[in-house]
Amino acid sequence: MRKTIRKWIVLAAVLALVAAACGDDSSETTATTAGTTATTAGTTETTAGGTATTTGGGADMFTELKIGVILPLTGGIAGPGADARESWELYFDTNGDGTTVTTSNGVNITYVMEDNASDPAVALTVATKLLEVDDVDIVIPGILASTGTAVGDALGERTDVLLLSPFSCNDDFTQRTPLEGYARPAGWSCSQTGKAFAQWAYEEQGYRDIATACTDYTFGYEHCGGFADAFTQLGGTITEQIWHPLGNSDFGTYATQMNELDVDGIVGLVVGGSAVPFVTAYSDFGVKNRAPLLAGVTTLDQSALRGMDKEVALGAIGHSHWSEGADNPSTKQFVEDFEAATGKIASYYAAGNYGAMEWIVAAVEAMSGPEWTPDLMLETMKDGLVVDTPFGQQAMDDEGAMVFNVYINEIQEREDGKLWNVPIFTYENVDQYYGRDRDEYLTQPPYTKDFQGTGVGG
Amino acid sequence: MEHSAERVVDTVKADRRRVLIITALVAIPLIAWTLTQMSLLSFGTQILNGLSFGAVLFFLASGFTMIFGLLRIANLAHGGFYLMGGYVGITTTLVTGQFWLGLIAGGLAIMVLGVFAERVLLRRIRGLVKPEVLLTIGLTFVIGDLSLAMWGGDPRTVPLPGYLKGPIQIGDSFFYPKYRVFVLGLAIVLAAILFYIDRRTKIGAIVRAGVDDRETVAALGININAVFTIAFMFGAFIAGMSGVIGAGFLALLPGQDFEILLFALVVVIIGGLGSLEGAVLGAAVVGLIDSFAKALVPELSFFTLFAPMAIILMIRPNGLLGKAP
Amino acid sequence: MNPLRALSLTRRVQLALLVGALVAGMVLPHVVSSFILRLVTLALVSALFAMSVDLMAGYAGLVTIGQAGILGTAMYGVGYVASKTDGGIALQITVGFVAGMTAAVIFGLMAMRSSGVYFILITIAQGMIIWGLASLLVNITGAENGLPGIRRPVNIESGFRYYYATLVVVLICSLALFVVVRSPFGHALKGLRGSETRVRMLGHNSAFLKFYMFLVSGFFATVAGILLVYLNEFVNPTDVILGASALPVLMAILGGIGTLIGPFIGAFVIVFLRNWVSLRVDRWQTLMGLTFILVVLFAREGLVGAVSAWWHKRIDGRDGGVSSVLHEPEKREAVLSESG
Repeated sequence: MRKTIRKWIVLAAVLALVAAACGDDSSETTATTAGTTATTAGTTETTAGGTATTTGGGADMFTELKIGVILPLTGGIAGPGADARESWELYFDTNGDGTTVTTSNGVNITYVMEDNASDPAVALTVATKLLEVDDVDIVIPGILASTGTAVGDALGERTDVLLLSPFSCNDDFTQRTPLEGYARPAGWSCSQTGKAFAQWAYEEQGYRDIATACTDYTFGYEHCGGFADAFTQLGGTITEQIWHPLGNSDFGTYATQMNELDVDGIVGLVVGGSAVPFVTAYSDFGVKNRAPLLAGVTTLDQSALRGMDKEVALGAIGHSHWSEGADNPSTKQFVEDFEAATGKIASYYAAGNYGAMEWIVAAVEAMSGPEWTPDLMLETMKDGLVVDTPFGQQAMDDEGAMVFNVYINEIQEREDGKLWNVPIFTYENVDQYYGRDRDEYLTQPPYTKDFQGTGVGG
Repeated sequence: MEHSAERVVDTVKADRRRVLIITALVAIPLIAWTLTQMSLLSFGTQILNGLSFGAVLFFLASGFTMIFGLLRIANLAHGGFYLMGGYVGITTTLVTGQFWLGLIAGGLAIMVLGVFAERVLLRRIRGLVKPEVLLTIGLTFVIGDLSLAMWGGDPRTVPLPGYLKGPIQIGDSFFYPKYRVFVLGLAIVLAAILFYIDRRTKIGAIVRAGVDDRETVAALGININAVFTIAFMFGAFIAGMSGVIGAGFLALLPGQDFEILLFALVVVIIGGLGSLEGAVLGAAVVGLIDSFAKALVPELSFFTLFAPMAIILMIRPNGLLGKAP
Repeated sequence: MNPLRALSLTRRVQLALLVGALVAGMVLPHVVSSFILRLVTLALVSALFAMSVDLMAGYAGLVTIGQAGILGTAMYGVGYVASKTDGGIALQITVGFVAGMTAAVIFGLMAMRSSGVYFILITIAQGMIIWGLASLLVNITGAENGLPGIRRPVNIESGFRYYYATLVVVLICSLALFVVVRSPFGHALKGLRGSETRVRMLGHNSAFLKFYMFLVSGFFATVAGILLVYLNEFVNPTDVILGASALPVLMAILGGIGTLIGPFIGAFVIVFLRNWVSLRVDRWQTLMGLTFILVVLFAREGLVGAVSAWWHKRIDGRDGGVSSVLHEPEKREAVLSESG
């Protein structure tokens, strides 16, 4: 008897959990469910009229465009993934009916969003689903560089699909070994922003000796290489380069090492969950009393600031193509809307997705013709199109990379006590070769741990 | 009988002595070499870094090793316990403004979860290793996913009270974070309490006897199931509390449950499963190796945790202080 | 006379199911979308991988949570040749095979003296060492960014053809495993589960036996690795994380450990939970966790065990299990003394 009762208790508990899981699910994902419905509708239309072609007689414009978005909604970088998702939903809510956005020239843009669990292998499976089942025209391939590489590689031979990447930033995808059918609207090249940052450090601050402490993988090599190369070109010296492993969370050892350095500043790059412990250690070990922190794009991004202690981060200097406190109308509008919808200050992950969508719409509105093709869209984007995104005004170069503002940010306290990035200096129209001749630049090898610029390390 | 018991004690002692001698033989040249690589101040700071990180590891490992020691359950949900305990602690601290309340709440929440897991789930499959593996991993998935749903995916830290924030300053130029010193102190207090319970109290005696020979304990009329539940509760409490402590150190985020589990495993494997001294030794060794390896051989930092563990296991399949099979 | 008459009801049903599954496997690509076909291919590869783990965990009672180290080393072997050199398919597969088997040999040498929980732990360490190497050796593995540019052999390039290639390889391997578990070697392995002293009494050296077990199991994991790397045409450290090693164990336990059909069923359930249900349910990880918990509580011998028990209780009480291999429930006390 007792045994049966216990069995029922277990069953009840488990069922309660299931209910909790599902209940939670329905409340949180209404938008997605709605999105799926819209998708099915879209598919029916597509089968009737073919992909992204006109169905109406006489009109000389394609009428449908479908975007597949792959995001890390679970797993290690679910935080940035959530920001990206919410900004995507925000765009479709404010500019459309939540599932469809209709452009001024009558094109209906819909999207399908899928989770890659922060895993490139899952991203590949999901990409197959988006291409084969949903028949999407554009793919946005996640946030991590690894997912971007995997999906980019898999889509390399597909001429009917356009790959747009607002996050993963591998230099060579728009430089030495360009990908076909690929561009980075509202994105960036990993080494791009560091070049302007180096100029600021050298010219505005008068720094001459700098050390770097960056994450030991490709993104770290390229991001910090961009700074180191430009800084030494200007005449400065990179005295020491510390590399800490990806995913590291105890920075005591590195802080102790940084305390031994005699430099004007330290460029610090960390990603994801490492940002909070890194900046905390930088402050609490007293490193910031010896040399100011010159933060990389992800180190002081809003997604990391939310979890950071006030005293630790206040006054820190960073740089990015994103600045939530920038005083320009499109940034202000986006930050306001995003906060009204989610209660969070927008991170660069939020701005990136929203910006990508603005690029897509702007390109579609500048396009004409009965058929949508990836090449046509790319040509339109590169053809002098200037788009007003949350980042400010952006243009695209011939290789699919962005020309944008780079902000030197200071962490300040907003009136309501929240921390945010406020620009103290702005470099306008920074391209991916900033200040260098393209052909000369491309004779250099890509940045690796061993090559951080011709003037670095002997 | 007397005689053989003495002999066993002697072999154990001789065995420990051997471990000590070998450790010393490895450690002394390493230390000498290290000193040629860095200043004395750096060396001292790195030792402090290693020990304070080891203190966090001890928190993680002691709960795990306690549950394993008595129940023989490799509780792979330990990382999940850590994660959720940390989140509950953060929320409590934010709501009440009291760090200590957060610490206790994190522990208590996981204690309740632990009682549920032990009495309702694990008790039905006691002694079956594979179902236990599946069940505790399943539990980790559920805990991790519900935590993601409730607390989101951004990295979170626990708000510390003013007296634990910022650095201690010695002289003009030496700074050291207060929180690291605090965690080190707290770990020493926890270790002292655990050793006291283990060595000086009746419940400690029962638990120790239970580890060695459950049938006899049960035959003595002690309710072994109650002892199991209490041990699991206590282990879960420490796991939840360590999540709050760790949140001030490492930041909490999704996926960390498996990472934390791995740290706990490495510590208890090196020290010896189910042994309290082993957890202390393992935590200190892992903390120090991690801290010095990052400074001296940064390229190998991934390796330095797992390679020593593999080597130790090959030489001593039951860990440094584990009992011979 | 109908020769089927000679078989019991259970055997006839088994035969029917097997033939049914084979026919389904043959016609599947003509029925489902290429996305589902990719998932089925992935499930087949995962099933082979899970069977290689089951050989250790189910038959010998030695649970390994480091097998992705072998699978991943094979993947990296293929990937390195494909991505960093101009070696052809034959060279890629050879290097992948040698790499995977080398890992198996090293793993075997490291773990052959351990048993019980310590065996689990040492295999976790092994897997993590491979993960460390994968994340560390940028010039060989590309670290976090992985190795792109891997391409399937031209004649089986399409998803359609690659499915059939996988199906054939997995079927051959399953057959081979079927033979292995019935061989004297297989019986000796089962001896390891009870007690090692018994194995010694039977004249086997348990350490050597475990070493051979690593070789045989590693062979199948290597084959699975080669199939997987060509399926994904990509490899990066997430292929060798702890979770990647835990999944095949979960598949085997879920389906029914110590059987060959169990890992198959477990692999299909988990692959579809992770990749198909997750498209519909946001909280798919909760669902997956609950599946594990429910199976442990209400179908302790896995899905195969549960179906088998139901069958024998309700339909046919005469003959052996539905599974092709008899399932022996784990002995509690043996496990206790082993891990102590």
